[in-house]
Amino acid sequence: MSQDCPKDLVRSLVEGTLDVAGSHDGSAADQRASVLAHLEACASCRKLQSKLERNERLVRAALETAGDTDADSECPSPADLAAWTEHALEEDARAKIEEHVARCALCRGSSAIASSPAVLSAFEKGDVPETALDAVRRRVALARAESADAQMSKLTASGRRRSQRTTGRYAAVPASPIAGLGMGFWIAAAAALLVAVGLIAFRETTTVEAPVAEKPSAPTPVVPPAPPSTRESPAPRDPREAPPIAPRETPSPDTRTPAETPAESPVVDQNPPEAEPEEDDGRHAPRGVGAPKTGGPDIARRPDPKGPDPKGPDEKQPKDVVGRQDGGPKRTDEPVLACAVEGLSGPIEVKKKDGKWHALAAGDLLHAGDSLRAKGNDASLTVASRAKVQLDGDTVGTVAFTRTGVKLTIESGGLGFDHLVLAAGAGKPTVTGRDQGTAPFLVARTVGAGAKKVATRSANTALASPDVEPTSVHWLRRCAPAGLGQRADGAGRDIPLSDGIHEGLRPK
Amino acid sequence: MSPVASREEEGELVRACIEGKDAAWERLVRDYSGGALAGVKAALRQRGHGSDPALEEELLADSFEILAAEGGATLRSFRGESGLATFISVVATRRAFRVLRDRLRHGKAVDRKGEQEKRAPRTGEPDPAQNVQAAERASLMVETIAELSGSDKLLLTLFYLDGRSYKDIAAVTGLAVTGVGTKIARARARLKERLARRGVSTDGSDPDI
Repeated sequence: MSQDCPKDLVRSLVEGTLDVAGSHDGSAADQRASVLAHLEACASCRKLQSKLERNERLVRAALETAGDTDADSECPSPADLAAWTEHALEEDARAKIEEHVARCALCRGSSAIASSPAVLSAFEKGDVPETALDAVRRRVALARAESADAQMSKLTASGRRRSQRTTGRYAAVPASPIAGLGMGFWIAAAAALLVAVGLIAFRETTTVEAPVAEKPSAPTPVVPPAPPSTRESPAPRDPREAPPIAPRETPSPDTRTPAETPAESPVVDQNPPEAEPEEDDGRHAPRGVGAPKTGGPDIARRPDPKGPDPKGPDEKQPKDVVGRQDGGPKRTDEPVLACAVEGLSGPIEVKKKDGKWHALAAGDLLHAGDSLRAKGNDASLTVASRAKVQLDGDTVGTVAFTRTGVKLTIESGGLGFDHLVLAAGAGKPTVTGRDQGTAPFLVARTVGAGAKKVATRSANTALASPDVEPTSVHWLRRCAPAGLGQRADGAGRDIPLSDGIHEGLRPK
Repeated sequence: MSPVASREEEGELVRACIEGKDAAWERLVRDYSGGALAGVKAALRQRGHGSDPALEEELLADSFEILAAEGGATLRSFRGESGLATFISVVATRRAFRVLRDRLRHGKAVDRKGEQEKRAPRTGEPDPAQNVQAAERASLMVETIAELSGSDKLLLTLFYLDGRSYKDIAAVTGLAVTGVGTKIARARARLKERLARRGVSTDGSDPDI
């Protein structure tokens, strides 16, 4: 390598900073051309370039390690990151966030996009399809309704146990449940001793509050005045149900009316005074509150014990199970919101009774009797923010969402399944299924991440889950037949899980 | 309401949403969905994801759900230090990146397993001493980069890792576009200096790794 070799330029070329290579005359493009020409002629410079490129790869790999950490929990709040993006923070706060952003690709990306002129100008144009806006409105309404639910649950859980007040005789509070009562109850009881007449009215009012917590979870879009979708049919209101709510109380049952400014009224007016005993799905009232549990999970739509059509499926193509539900669960028009649809390798498709298969999107309303399929893809569907169904491969089935649970009709035959493992959740699910010959399926319930119980049921039999509060519904991987044990009797029994079962499911 | 709305107007809108006014939420959704959707699309593009209207709409709905969830906790965190458009963009793009990252992890887990099963026994293993040397060098580089100042690290990651243009880097860092190149070169020089102090040369004078 001679003294004239432009080593600095070669280094700058490799590092990508040729345009700031100091004192060299000429534009960056000229310098680049000059260096490249030299490299063609000079073997020693090419060797240097090669070494520098190797080092450069190491530096970039080190930057990748340092700059793409998975420190999600350390990410600043959206408000902080937005303020940093607009350079609106004080020096200390700015430096701290800058330190994090340098390490976090997620925050770097968010900041860069948020500050880009293209995105900022899109806020002015507002070019969003109306269907997408409707989906957003439904999700917002759902989130607001759930927030209101949670708030009411807190009020209910603050010590007002329904069983303590069924007689209205507050003087007869038994001693044993006292430990479970919260401060709210004692405040109410203390007030009752002081103002008897007024408290009687108060407590009678609050005795109907428990059913409030058990109101149906079917979300109702309130914000949009327009119908949610042309695909869905109007939902006739069940007089036993609470009227649809925004996060505030709205007396009108008509979901299509424009949202009116809600009154700040207490939750007590939202429910009918004689709500039917409903399943405690754990999301509203705490355990022990509410009417005694009934045997079936779905009072309004008890499935036909015969199950779906026993005819064999078409092995070549998944069929619409809805069409086979002769004698099966009756279709209801009460829709349920598909909250999160994640097609990991492909879309989830839905088909209405008389329609064609089309891709399911979040925000779509599902009706009982709709068919779902993943068509060779992995996907998951979260419904009404409660039940999550994962579709594995060629799974096909019909999902019915009720006020108190989830009912699944699974077509396992003809798709290469030996066994189907299913964890049922979101209340008291009823599972009916069919198998091919001697292939049973397993049912387990999950509470959080662990399986509560594993039981087997033969096909074509409705399964009434025991009194557990599961939180999710899973389609699990096909499991090997070995080690699954025999078919269970009507009551079900625990059997060991095979190795093929999904990792997240283990019996206690 | 467009981004040119005053901070006071934005603050009033946020307050009205937090108070639970349906009309305010409707306005928020209608006026800010466009930019949020653009942010989601940009995030997907940045990660090499093709156009997917269903996913984009889902992520858009996710973003507003995040704002409304838990009594509007996320929306309540808005302090008015930034514009509401920037705030909502951050929420939307973060959601998009996280969903894509989670999907990628799922895919990676599967691929890694498959790759391990398929991998043939290696022949001609390199010298273990060289492997150790290379690993140590790489480790030193990572440590040295971690010691850089936040601004140097940010410049280097934006330029070398994210492949951002000078203009984008200027927008993120607040630097003048004309000064970005110089700043990057100086950050690079400081990195080189630190590496040299640790005995790691980046000028090609080291023996081959």
